[in-house]
Amino acid sequence: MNRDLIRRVDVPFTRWQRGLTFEPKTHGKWADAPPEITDPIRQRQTELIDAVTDGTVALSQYLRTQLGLGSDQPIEAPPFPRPALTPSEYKEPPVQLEEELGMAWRDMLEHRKALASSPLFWLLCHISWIDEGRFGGDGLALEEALLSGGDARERRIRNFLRRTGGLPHVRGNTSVFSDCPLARAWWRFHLADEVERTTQGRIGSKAAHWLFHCHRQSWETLVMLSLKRITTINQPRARAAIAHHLGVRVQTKGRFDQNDVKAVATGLARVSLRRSLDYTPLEELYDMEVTELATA
Amino acid sequence: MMRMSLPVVLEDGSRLDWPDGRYEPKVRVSMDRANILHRLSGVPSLERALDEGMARWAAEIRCPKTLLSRIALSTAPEHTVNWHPDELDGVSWIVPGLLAVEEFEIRGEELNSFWHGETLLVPSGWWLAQGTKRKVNTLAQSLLRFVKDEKLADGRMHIQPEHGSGHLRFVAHLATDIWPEIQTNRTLQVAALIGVCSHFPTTFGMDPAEEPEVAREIRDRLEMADVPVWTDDGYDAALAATVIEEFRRTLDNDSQKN
Repeated sequence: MNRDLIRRVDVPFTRWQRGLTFEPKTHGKWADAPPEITDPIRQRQTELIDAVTDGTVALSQYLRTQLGLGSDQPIEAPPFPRPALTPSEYKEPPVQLEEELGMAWRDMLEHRKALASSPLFWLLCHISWIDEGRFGGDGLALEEALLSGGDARERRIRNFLRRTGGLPHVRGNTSVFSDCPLARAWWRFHLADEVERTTQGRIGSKAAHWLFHCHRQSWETLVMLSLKRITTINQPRARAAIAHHLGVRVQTKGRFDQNDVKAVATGLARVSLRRSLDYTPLEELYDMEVTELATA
Repeated sequence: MMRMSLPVVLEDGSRLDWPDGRYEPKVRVSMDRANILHRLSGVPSLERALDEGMARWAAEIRCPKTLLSRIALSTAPEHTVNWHPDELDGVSWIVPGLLAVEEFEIRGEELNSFWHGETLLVPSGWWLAQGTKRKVNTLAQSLLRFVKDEKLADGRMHIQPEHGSGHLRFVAHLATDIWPEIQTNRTLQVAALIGVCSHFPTTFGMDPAEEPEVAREIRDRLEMADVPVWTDDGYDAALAATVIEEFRRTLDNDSQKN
């Protein structure tokens, strides 16, 4: 898939997502909003829900229409390593499934991070995978996978948008990394792979992947800090040092949480004011991180 | 115990460690590369470290949205850093500098007196000189994209705003006959930008509190240049556009540093 297709449907994608969600900042309170605001949103939400419950053909057609894509427009998505996923596998892929997906997608995405960080790319992939029946062939399976989690209609719609690629106009750039299960799987695998290469196998990719996978809020904190607050931790040795520290925490205390991620990242940030983390010996970085935590 | 501070030469001149130290990199950015010319003077220990291979010229490319940070090193003071267009998305930066790659010493007598003449051991990985970060994608590039429009008569251009991925930008539609020139014809590019700037009063609105992020960045740029913004009397789209991107005879993006 190339970026020309993504650029071409970028505007319809944004318009479609915005048209499905009620935004208090823009619209005020739902209870106070006039029917001319709420009725069109409800109508669009009903169309989406109906498309999901009607099954793969209806859903694929609905999504293609919303993006202005013809029914015969090919979409090149990364290959799926399994015939299909159950709804629970899809919503919360186990670490082994994430590894399978990562290995299958490595060739396509390894050097194309701009694709892997694009909510629209992942939605286009979902259209292709829906066509292939990867989330089950009938409406019930699709509904369970894509909409479930809450009774309120708005919540179900947002679940769909988040899971199929992310909801950037509400959740920002972190959404694709945190909210879309399959994008999340790719990025965890990819960063774990990077840790293994950076440490020359001293921290294996399986161990690193487990660390990124086992505590959801820690992963979300790592993503948020990497994207917004402490971008120097995107240097590969910084991530390796974070993985090392979290591993030490597990060994000494049996667990870690998002505060540990923040403490390590903050310590590394201070170091990075004076030193390039990628050209500082890893052993010093492991030692430095312990020292910095004492003062963090 | 890890040392907390060592001398560094900053491009903006805000550090006084070396009385005569100057670091003045020149960076030219294009679509998939940056050419950096590092210029350093008044720092004998660092120049010696370079000659002996203890230090190298460096450029870090950073793109938060794709979780990317990568450093390219060079022994030559002029080098090119490449990236694949699919590696970057959104705001990206390049940061030039000089990096210690092996341990070496800085002679205290070269430094200002507050270093007390002490000879300093510099570990590997320390920044010895640092430039200001420059955007890889210029403001104009993030604001405007170009499309060929076969419906336009020869020689014509048409600008319209669009909202994509939550960000406001503009699309310049170009007639088929002038479309081939858009990559290389800076006059055409700036003309499009003037068209974009003429839309600001209606697209950005009159309330600064409601402005999108790109509008705030443009407002800051114009106010720094002491040029009327779109909410002022006397707003001039051509003047605003040529603050963002000047008409020039040669393409030089070094003025985009932040």
